[in-house]
Amino acid sequence: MSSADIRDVFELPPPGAGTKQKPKSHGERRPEGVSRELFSLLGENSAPLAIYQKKFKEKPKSNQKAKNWVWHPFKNPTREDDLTLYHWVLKSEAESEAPYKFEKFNTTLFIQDYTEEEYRELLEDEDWSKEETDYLFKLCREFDLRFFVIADRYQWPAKNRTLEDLKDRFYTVSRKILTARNPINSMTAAQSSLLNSMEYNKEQEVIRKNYLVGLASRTPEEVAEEEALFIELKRIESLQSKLLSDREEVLKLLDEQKTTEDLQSFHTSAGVSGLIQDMVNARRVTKAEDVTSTYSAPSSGVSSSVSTPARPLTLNAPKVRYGPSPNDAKSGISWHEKLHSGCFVRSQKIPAVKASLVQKVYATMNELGVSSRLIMPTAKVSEKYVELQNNIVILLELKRQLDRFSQESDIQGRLNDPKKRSASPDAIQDGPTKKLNTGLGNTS
Amino acid sequence: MSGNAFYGGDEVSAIVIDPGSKWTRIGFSGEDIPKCVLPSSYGEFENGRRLFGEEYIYQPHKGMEIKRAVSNGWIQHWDATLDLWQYTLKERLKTDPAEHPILVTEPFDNPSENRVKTMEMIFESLGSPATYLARQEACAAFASGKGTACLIDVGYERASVSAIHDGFVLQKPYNVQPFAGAALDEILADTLREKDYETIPKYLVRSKHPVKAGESPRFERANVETTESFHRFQLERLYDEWKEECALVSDAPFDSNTTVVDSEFEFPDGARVVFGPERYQIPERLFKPSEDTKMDEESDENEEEKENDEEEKKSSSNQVTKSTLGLSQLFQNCISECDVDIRNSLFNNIVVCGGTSLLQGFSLRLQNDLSKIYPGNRLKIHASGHIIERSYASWLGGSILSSLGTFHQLWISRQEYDEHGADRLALIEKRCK
Repeated sequence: MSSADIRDVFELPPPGAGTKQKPKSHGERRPEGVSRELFSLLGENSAPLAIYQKKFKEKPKSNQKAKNWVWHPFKNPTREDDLTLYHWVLKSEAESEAPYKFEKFNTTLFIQDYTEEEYRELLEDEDWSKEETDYLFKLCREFDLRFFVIADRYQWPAKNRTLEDLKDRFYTVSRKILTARNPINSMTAAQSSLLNSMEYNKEQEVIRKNYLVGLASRTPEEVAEEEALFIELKRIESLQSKLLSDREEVLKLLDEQKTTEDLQSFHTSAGVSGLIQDMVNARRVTKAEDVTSTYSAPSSGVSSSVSTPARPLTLNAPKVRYGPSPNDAKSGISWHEKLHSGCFVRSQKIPAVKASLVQKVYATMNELGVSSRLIMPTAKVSEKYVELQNNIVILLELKRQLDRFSQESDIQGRLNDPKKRSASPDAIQDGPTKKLNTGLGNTS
Repeated sequence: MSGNAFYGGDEVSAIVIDPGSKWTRIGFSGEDIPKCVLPSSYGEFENGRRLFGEEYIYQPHKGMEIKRAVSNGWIQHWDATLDLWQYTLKERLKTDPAEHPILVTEPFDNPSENRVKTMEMIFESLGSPATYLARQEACAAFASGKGTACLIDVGYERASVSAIHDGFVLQKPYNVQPFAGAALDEILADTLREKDYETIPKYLVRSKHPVKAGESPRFERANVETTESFHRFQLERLYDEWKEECALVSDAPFDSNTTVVDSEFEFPDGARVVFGPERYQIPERLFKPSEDTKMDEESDENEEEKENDEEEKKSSSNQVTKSTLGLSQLFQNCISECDVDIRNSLFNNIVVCGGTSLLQGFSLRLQNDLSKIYPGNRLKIHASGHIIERSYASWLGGSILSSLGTFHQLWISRQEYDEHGADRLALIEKRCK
């Protein structure tokens, strides 16, 4: 390949052709009288402009005029003396003579005061002298009833007062004065609420405090032990709740009627038959609700003439019969719990089994010699089939529950057995109960 | 009203003075740092002339003795303190104290005479219109925004643990001991003496040459004539540097199993010394004052020596005595004196402040130690990361307090001071609780 071929392929121009001569272009002509150096700075050839970057912020633009502040003296009315302090105030506010803004924060707690006679009549106490009581009240006023600080700073010669002592004395005195001045019957709402707030049970407080002190002075081992016990307790509680929920499940399966009344009545045969009647009626009620809702309107007029007194009167709707009668099969009336719309193939409308159980159900059916697929799904046949299916499901669920409970009781028995083999679900390995083990592993 | 009245502030341009054992902080209320931070030490000449401020007393002057105006948190030399404050106010802050109310902080165990004297000094010598004596512990808690807190303050000469409830410092749980930064300095001095190393502070070095680690230094000594106290003062600066750079608090009690990270420290004379376990052992004394190491024997020996020549070694108070406790022990003593009902709120609000608390690893070690003593309780330690907030906590609290609108009814005015001519102590005790 020669270079000429390569150039042909790539369509490159021949070597000499690239360099074209630029025509000489005259820009602006330099006018007479302007020196060369000067001209190079002006006109077309001017030097490139320097780009400024404003490093400073813009001056803040304010529409308002500057406000006038003055160094203004003020007095605090809560003070007893004349101390005059100064602060900066807007000129307009300074001239308006407004009261000191923080005056309203000078609140004091309402603490009772007692006279000499009141003390002598009501408040005498062997343990507390009048001077000491006065001292206590003075401290209460000073520290605004912050009892922690009062108890800390309390210093009365020859007396060692605990926080509870002080509180007790204070509240007792206050209550007595309050009730003496305003008899309970004629107290205002505010006063009675004040009285209620002064309830103080000294013994209770002392007991509570000792308990807290004991709690606070636990050693780290005790704390760890307590926490372990707490976790145990939580675990047992959760197991209990799980047990209860399982029991509920089993009961639901058996479709037993919930009752909170005495069960004695159901122990006799009469009671049991009564129970069956109740359950049937309960079924009827639910069915009636379904049926009446769809049929009540149009058939009300018709059935009133059709229904005769000979027919057993059922509960709610007097016009509509909602239970099957012996003549239905002849007249072709069928009763369904669930109605499907349109036309359908009966075998497709067989209610499906829970996915987790479907395999077992089919296995059971095989054992029994029934094929899982219906050959001739007529109404009667499919009805029986569904019944069989439901029963198998119930059977399997019950069996599962039974296995689980028996295992649990096994474990409990082994746990209670002193120092026998430690309970481990792994020790019990059976075929059909393999599923149970994983279930149990979660709970224990 | 001032702009921040919305937040409860009402600045009256008060001055806040916070005298510490090492540094005195003076500034205006409402600001977030004190404008003037000067050493509490001062230089004094034989003719009585005094010098204040770092730029003067750090320079070697012939015949200048360095004395401490404040010691153990209490003001000791009154006219020197007055001079210091006047110098700061007039020369540094350029204000006239007669125009401003002055708030002075004081430690909780300040003796009554000191309180009266401080107030007298402010009214009579400085001529201020109003004053208030605030507790440093309460102020440090306010600086963290807390009215209830358990404060652990490790400064230069004092380490204290105090319980503050609703702004009041509780008396019975107050624990303080004179074992803090200065004691660490002493222990460091002993360690360096052990290493057979003559510590040369900066002012004695005219020029130096670089040497390798472990070699003896090569430097030219400056020809200055100074006093013993000045020399000791400059050594303290050097120890401060060492504490900032080299000292490390291990997060568990330091023993033979702790991993040691060596570090090299260059002294002003050019010597480069490698420090290993000393980095940990020295700050460890704050938590465990007496160890079963060689250190302990040294201190016992030193104590005996000191009993013999007590006058020479004024610093004996800083060494470990039988009654010196570790910080966790101090904390325990404090909490056990507190009522059970407030303990929980104290645990949740533990505030750490003080210059010596800035040692590396201090807060973590404190947390670990305290959690071990109080398992099951939720301890929350608030240690500000900001150096200023930790070291100047009490000044900041004073600044906050004196700029609140609701505070201005608490000032003690000159009129009240004059009225209570005879019974000033009662006035203080009633107003400044």
